[in-house]
Amino acid sequence: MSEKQKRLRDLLIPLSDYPHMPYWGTLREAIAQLNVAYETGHHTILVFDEAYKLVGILSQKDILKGMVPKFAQHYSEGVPVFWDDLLAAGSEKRLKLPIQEFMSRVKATGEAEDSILKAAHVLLQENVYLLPVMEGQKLIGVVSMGDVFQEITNTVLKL
Amino acid sequence: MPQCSKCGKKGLFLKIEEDTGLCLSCNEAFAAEGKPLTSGIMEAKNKATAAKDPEQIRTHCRTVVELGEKLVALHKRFGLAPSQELLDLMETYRKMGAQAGGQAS
Repeated sequence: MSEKQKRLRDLLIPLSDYPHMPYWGTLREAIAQLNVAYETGHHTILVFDEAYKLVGILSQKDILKGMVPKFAQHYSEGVPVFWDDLLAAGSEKRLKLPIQEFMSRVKATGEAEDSILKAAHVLLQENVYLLPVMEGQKLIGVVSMGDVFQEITNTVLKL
Repeated sequence: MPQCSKCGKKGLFLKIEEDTGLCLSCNEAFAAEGKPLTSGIMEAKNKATAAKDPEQIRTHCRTVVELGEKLVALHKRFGLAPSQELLDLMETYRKMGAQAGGQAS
């Protein structure tokens, strides 16, 4: 064990690094936003309410889930029609839907002084890629699964 | 008995929003005014992040701060505390704008 173990505070990414969208923005707007942000390496949108409070996180996975027709979830082996036609036919309607319907609500948060391993546990438990980090009542940033993974693997390699 | 922190309306069956302490009509009024400001801030924030030209960055940052101040004022009018996310964003873009201003001149 190293003397000074890293805490979530050390892996913080400021909220402003990510694209922001209001919950009433559409799926099409979210796709456009991620398209612009692609080169920054951030593939997630932070979703806020009218009081500018973080209410959710929209990942690529959430967007893809939104694009796939609802009835398709009943077919584990794929739907018995051509996917290409299906995407074109139904997408116009789905693209106009608000991202509120697809985003993942902020269910869990970490504390600035929490350990990296605890964050990994919460990320896995909640099946999310980003974890908002609080300092008391104050939201100070997020940590990503990628950074948590990197930190844990670095520690393992030093053992 | 539940009471709205803005209009003072109270009643046994009055629905109060847990987050804001406002009754539904005050909450709706807050949302109606807050939505365009929030949209404007986000649009300017995303443009400022994507922009390369310092002058454009400065303009978008100024918009973030100006609209942010209006949203903070709206919060105060409804007796609400602005979110830390909003305050941090304004501070970040105030600094970013000043930095871009230095590069532009």
